[in-house]
Amino acid sequence: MRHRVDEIGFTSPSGLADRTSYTFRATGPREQFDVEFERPAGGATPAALALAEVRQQIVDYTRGGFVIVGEGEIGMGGQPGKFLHYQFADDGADIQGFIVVANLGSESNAGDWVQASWQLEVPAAAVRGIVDPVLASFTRGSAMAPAIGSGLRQVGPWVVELPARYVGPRSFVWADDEIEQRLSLTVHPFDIPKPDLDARVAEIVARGRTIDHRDDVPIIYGKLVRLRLHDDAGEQFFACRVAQAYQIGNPVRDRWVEVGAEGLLADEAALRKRVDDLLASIAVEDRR
Amino acid sequence: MTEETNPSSREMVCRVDDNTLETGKIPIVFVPGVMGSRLHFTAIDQRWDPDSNWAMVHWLRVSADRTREEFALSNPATVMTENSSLTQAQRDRGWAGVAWGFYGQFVQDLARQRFGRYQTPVYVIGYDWRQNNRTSGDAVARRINEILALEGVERFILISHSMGGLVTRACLKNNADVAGKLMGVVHIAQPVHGGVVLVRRMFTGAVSAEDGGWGLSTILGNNRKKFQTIMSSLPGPMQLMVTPNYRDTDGSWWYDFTSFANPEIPQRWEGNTWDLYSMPASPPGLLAPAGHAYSVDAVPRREFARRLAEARAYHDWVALWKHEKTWSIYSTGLVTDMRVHFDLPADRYETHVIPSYGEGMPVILYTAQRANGTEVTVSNPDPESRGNVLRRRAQSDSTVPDPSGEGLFPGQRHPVAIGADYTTLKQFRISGAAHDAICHNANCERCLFDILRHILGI
Repeated sequence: MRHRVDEIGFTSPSGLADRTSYTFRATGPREQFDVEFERPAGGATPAALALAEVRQQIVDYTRGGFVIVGEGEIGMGGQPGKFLHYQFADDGADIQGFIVVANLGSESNAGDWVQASWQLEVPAAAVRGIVDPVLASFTRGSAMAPAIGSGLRQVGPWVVELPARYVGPRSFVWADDEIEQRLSLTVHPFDIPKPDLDARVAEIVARGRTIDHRDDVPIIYGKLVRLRLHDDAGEQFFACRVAQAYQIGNPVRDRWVEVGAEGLLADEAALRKRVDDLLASIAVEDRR
Repeated sequence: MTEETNPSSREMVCRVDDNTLETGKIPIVFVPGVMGSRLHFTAIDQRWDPDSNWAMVHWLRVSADRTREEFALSNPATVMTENSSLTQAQRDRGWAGVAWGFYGQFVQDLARQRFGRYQTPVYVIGYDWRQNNRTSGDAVARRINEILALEGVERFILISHSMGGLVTRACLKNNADVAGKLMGVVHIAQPVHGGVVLVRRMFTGAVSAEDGGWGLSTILGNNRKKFQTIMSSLPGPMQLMVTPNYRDTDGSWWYDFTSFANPEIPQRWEGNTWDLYSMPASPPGLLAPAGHAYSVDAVPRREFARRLAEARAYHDWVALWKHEKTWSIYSTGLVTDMRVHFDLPADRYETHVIPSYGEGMPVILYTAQRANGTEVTVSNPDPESRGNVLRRRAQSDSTVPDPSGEGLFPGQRHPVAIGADYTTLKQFRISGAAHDAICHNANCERCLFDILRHILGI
């Protein structure tokens, strides 16, 4: 799957589950759009049951603090789904919450649910005008990242059309919990300083891991740090942190991209290959 | 204490009880409890912020498995620093790092309090409450050293709430340089021997009617499988499990049951709690056997075992250690789980399918036999809770049972008395203050501020 953030395109690693938080936000009146996929994958839990669990959590947590505005049937990506519309107060404003669950399936698990949700600082009557076009736009994603300026956004295996004001995720996460491997990639905005890899290493150490070996490897316009570590229980790990700049525009500005990887030391070779493949897939794609 | 004016600098100096002269600035550092620090999960750009309904909806919407993935320590988090209702100076002192709805009043009360002519700037150290409390303790130690350098002083006072007590004890035990600069530490509502309610939730999940608190318990899972799945990613909270030192208020063991065969005979699972939690039979083991309807999946099962091992290692290491200048305040009179009891289901039962007449569904009945030969009909032969029966009494702060709250000074249950002899009286009990509201309880504050006056030699 090819993704793009600003001018940076990259290919998600094969064999790892997509753990990205697909959250899109707009400011002004606050708006947030999220898409969640069924976990664990393959459960094919009926939409009605999945939404009922969320509803119960909301009721239990807020103890009547959230008002249920409506609930019922709704379409999503051409499939039947269930919706819950609720309202709550936040920071002095009335917020509309709208959750839709439908069994759209995933790349490998037909029948798994997909949850689309909104939090909107708008009047209740305005919600469907925002929600319905997005729900109708859910289609299976293409292999190519949507062009800059397009309202189409890649959300896991799906493509949805969102208003241009929505800003999507800048960080992407892939993982396989069974083999304990995790990769992440972040495309930074222009206005941040060069990422501090020593601080990233310190974050790992602060989690209770001890460095046994460290390699600092210079790469073009950047740096790569490889670590071998162990924890108090004697388990050994491999970790990698990369920061690389990409030259954008004229006059040229640096766009920093960070890559992180962690796994068991026994799988170091495989994880290093995943990192190399991910780095090799990164390219400046400034077509519009 | 006597106060003297330094004629050359006109600065106040104070004589403290070890007869040394100190300049008059002593930072007071507050360390909050579990889930009380506001966290920004940077890689996924989500926030744990109990002050914001907007932020917390995320945790209500996502599945237990997603929560586990996002709570995992491989997902980096930083303590939040933004709060538009605070001044820059307050944010610089870490006040934005804690959930203001829980701790705001207390922090402001503490900051307003005057201790003679001392300056007592109040700092708050939010921390990543997911991680091992020993790791958090080291993080707190680093921040204390920064505070001391910033203020240019060599002495400080610590106050902790709830799990913050486990963090601060780890901080002081593992960092002698910091411990050596401590004038005194006051733990409020510390679950020294853990919380029984946490063990019970391993079988029931958070029960709406019983597990109120901040509502945050809901997010940790409202059934057994969800609760265990989420807890499998949380080393710090797992260290709140009942330790081998816990006993009920009458000194009796707390983990007991009756069998289906002989319901009139009370029985107990005794031994090291960490061994009991890991046993394959559940209960006393916490995890249902793999493949069982209520069992967690393979990955959280593996992680759960790691968390238990970490919790055991933490408690074996910290044990009942406390700094020599320690005081404690806890609350009683409110209801929580004091012990965990099961009326276990039958090991074997027979299934009877009774056809209905007409178009109705057939009725399924289960029967099992007692040791005395009596046959009993049961509606659910394999309940998720394994027959857990609540054993709750009003001898807690609604979360921490009295024997755990008074664990550092067993038997010391002194009433609050202004001007008490704090050199010998180390632990004070108040009534009716709920765990999540005890810090700003008026009686707790009276007691705390008086202890602080003693520590400062006023």
